[in-house]
Parts: sequence; C-alpha cells; structure tokens
Amino acid sequence: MRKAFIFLLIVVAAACSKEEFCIQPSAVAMTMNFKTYDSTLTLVDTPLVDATVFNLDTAYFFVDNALSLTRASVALKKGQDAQTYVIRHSNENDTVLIRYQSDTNFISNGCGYQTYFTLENATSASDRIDSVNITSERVDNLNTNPHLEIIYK
Amino acid sequence: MLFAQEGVDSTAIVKIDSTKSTPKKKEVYKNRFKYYRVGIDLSKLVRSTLTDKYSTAEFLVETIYKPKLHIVAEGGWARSTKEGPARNIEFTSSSYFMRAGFDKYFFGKLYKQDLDNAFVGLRLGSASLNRQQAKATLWDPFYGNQSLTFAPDRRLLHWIELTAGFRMEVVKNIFLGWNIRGKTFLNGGKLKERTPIYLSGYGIAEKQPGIDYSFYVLYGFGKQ
Repeated sequence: MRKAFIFLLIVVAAACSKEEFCIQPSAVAMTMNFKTYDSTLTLVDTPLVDATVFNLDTAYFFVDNALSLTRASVALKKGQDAQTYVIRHSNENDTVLIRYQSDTNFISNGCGYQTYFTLENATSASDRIDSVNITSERVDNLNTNPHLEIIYK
Repeated sequence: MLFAQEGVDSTAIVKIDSTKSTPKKKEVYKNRFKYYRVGIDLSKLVRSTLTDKYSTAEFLVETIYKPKLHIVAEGGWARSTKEGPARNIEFTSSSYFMRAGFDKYFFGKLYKQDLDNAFVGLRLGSASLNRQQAKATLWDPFYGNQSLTFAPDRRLLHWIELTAGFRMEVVKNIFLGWNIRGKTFLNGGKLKERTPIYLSGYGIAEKQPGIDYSFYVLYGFGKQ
C-alpha cells in the first residue's frame, strides 16, 4: 500500500507542469537613426547634441538631454493613424510626422497580446532635415533593424 | 465393384483426408461483453485538490471482447481558470470528453478468473470545450493600458492516444491499475490562442504532443 501511495505521488508530481510565465510583453518601439551626407555623399551617423525626443501625446520623454544621440527609440500610439515627434537639439526643435496603421497580435498564452504597427509615410517640415526615409515598415520588436532614417542637411 | 474400367485395380481403396474436408469454424469467445470493469481515475481527483487552476474527473468502463482484448470507453469533465500573474489573459473554461478504443493484453491466464495483466492500447478522444468571455490587457507604459474582450466560444477537439498499463486484482472484484498515455491533437490549430490550462481527457492543453498518467481503482462484475 505504501508503494502504491509513493507511486501515486510520483504520478501526480510528474503530471504537473509550469504555465508559461510572462510578467508583461516588451513595449513595441520604433527606432530612428540620425544621419547626414558627408563630403563623399555617403550617409553617416550624425550625433545630435543635448538631444531630447518626445511627443505631445505622453508626458514621458523618450530621450532626455542626451549629450550625443545617433539613435532613438520611440513608442507609437494604438488607435491613432499619425503622430508627430519632436526632436530637440542645439536649442531648436525639429518635428517628424509619422503615418501608420496598427493591429493587435497574439504573442503567447503567457504574454497575451501586443499591438504592432505598419509605417506608411514619414515627413518633416523642419529646415534642418533634408528627408525622412522608412527603412523598415513593420514595427513589431521581431525586427531589430532601424525603422526610420532622419537625414539632416 | 465401384470401378469396372479395364486396367484399374478394382480393389483399390480411396483414402479420404478428413482434415481437409470442411473449413474450421472460428471459435467465438462465448462470454463476449459479459464481464465489465468500471473505474475512476484517482490521480485526477488528487490533482484537482492540489491546484486551484483546474478541477477534473475521469471515469472508465471496459468489457472483455476476447480473452486478451478489451474494449474501453472513458469519459469525464474539467473546469479550468486561466489567470496569469500580470493578468495578460483571463478566462474560464469547461470541457467534457469521450474516449474509446481497445487494450491488448500480453500474458496468458494462470487460472480462469485471472485478470492481472499488462497491456497496450489505442484511443480516439474528443472533447467539447466551452470558453467563457476572455479579457486581455494591452500593456502600454507610455499611453496607458487598454483592455481587450473576446466573445465566448465553443470548440470540438480530437486527438489520438497510445496507452500502456497494468491491472491487478487486489481483493475479489477490486482492481488497481495505472496507464501511461502519449497523445497528440488531430486538430490542435484550434487551440493556439487562448489555450485553456486544462482540457478534459487530454490534460495540459498547451502540451503537444502530451504525456499523461492515470491511476485507477476499478470494480469488476459479470461472467468470465
């Protein structure tokens, strides 16, 4: 009888399994690189001095007073189809308008769902910015390549 | 004189080979479907008391088709609650299952009523899953979290199972036995999203393929 009881305990313990554990899914971020053309017309990184990056839809700064900034990660907002980001450096503001679509995706039974984005258009009216290019349309944390190139004059 | 042909030995005796005269009839086990065992899986009951994530019960009935071949039917139910530590997805579900197949026993009997034996078996299982309304949280530290709601739904899942085990009579008509089961869904794609913690008859629904164990107490009755 004791052997049967021990066997039953082993059976019960062996049949248990841990549920997939996830505190919360990682935030989905869009990354932007800051570039300029050098004398040979080759695109190179251009560091922005005393840079702050933010938008008007959140009180958080995505970057706050970075001494030298060549890349920034920002969050897009679900439920909107466009957002304007402010890049402040050398005591002046540049704005970049991003148009996009959002969709809800299943990640896993532990993590649940997360919003992914597809970039459609990116423009800037700032005098200091030459152009804004979309280098990777899909913003989903699966692709680590930068999504935007902001090319300064 | 049976043969009057010239040159034929009329006294020759024609031998009849009686073993080749008529085809032998297959013997039918005379007590087919006359002996039954009913049982309950104790391991599921114990597991239900050890966790608050699910509760389940499973029952079994088997009958002798041939001395080494039993027909088996199993059924039961389960309820489960999925609630992650961060409330990423939350829902409750209930399910009912039926499973049928056969067990092929290995060894001969030491005496007429001997039913102690090891076996392998095959099952086909189906479960009806009823998921209640599910809630999920879209985490967003910058713009604020949002809630998602998914409507209740029903699913019918099917799987195939290989099993092996042992049965032993401990006192007259009372048996103890165990099964080990390996199983795989035939239509598991229906459970990729919002998978319940536990699916009755199958077990931990996220395991594909799954392995499970049973520990039975059974009562036998009828004519062997």
